[in-house]
Amino acid sequence: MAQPVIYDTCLLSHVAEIGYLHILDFLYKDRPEPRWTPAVKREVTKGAAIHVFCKQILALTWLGEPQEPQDTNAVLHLRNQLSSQDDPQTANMGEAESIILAREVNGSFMTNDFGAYYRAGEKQYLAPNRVFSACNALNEAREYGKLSPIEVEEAHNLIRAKRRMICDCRLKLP
Amino acid sequence: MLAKELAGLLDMSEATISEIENNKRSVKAYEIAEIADALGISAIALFDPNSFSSSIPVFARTGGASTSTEKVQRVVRWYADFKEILDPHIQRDLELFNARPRVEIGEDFLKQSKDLAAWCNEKLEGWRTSDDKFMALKFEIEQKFGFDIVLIDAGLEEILGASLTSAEFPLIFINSSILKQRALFTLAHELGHMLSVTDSPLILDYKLKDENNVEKFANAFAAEFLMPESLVKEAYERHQFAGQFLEELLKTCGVSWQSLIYRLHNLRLINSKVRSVLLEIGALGYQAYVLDKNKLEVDLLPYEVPLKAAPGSILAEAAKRAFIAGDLGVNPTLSMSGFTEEQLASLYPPPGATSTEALDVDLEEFKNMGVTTEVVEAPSLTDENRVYA
Repeated sequence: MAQPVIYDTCLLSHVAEIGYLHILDFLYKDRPEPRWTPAVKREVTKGAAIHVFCKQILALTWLGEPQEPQDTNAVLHLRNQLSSQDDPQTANMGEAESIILAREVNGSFMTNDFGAYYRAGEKQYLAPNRVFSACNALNEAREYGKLSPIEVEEAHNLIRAKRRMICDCRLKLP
Repeated sequence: MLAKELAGLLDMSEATISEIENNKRSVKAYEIAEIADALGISAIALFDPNSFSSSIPVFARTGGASTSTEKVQRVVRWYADFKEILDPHIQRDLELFNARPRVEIGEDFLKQSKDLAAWCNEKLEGWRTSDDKFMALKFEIEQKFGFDIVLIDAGLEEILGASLTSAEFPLIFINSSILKQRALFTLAHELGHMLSVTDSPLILDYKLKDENNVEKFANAFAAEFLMPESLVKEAYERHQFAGQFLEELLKTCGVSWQSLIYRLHNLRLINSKVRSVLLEIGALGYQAYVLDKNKLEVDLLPYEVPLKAAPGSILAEAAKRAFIAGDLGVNPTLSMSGFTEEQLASLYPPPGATSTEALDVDLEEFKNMGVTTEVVEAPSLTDENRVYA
């Protein structure tokens, strides 16, 4: 049985910003909910005051209702693990909730945040085979014929032009 | 803080705050964090009353706290939140600290501070001959007493330092934005707190004023520790009250002009009138006066390299060990160790390598830290090994 894929704010906003949200819908719409958490929705809602792409995320019906992880203590401790000394205590809450929720529902976690990506890949959380990035989604879309290799490369370049991107695919990009 | 005031700081209604207070509504993790940030306390302390964070004083925002004070408080609670994670990785030697002369601060605090300072001067002797007295003393205290000294860039506002006097997690914080001579006095003052206070876990120091016996004790201790009476009087015997006398003491003790002049007055080597004049004209004025009158060149204003934010050495080593063991994340390790991202990345094995190979990069340093290089399975991030759930 297919398992849920939980997205964090970083992943959703990077993919939304380059206009590729439909890829997530195509690839994972048949997977069961949950797909996001209250903290992620909160972060996207705050972002909607500034960014149009955040409004597009909020308008997605297939994201469904956010689900809160049961283990709040684990969320707070993991959030600390993802944050530096100068961060407010709300920083990285979306990533922390998403990782703990993915662990609780035996799902996967998709992020473009470096710290969250590597932390989630540790055995005590999800292990590497349950953590993915936008790079993986783009390549999966290519395998299904939804995107051409040129479109995948273009999407990589678009994300890289705006943000840092986790990329472990074989694309030889400048 | 009233529910109405808290609601004003948060994107929540007063009714919602009231429901949360009365257990009529569950609280989401991000709401706990938002409330904790608004109150200026640790989210973990707010959620878990049995945590170490909740055992140190609540830094509730009262409206009067400055940005620099809030920064120090934030860093204190940030370290406290990691105490349980770091504990298994901390290697500190508290033998000397535990052997310190016990102090009951009372009316005879002057004599007590003098005795304790004499004991400290016997134990901490290396820093005085160093060119960088502050960093040398910091390192010597960490190594010999087993507690960390963290330098925080808290800006040029009023806070000078703080002491977390918990025997379980002893920490000194110094504002790195202040002048080095002042920072040295502050460090000695905080050392006085650490060695004498047991019933007040956190002490925040602003202007090191003699507000109560605890502060008087710490000031008297700092003065005697940095400028021992015997050392000052020996120098006086050699030079009498000449330019070289002050130059020698400033260099030997690493203190500010102001601290030295007050010390000379307290030791009755100058009277209050001379003290006032010397404080009024400052080191520069006195230097010009000596040159003009005696044709004597003295250097009373040595250039000091400014301090910068720096971690405590014991916790930095514990953070690196915790990172290698997978107990501590990248961001807290960077903050706690003072490592750059590149240095930290060198501890992470490249694809296909064992962590032992990665550790070889910096093996000498880790040997010095006493870290064992046990083999840990390297996480593989290659596509071939990925299994879509």
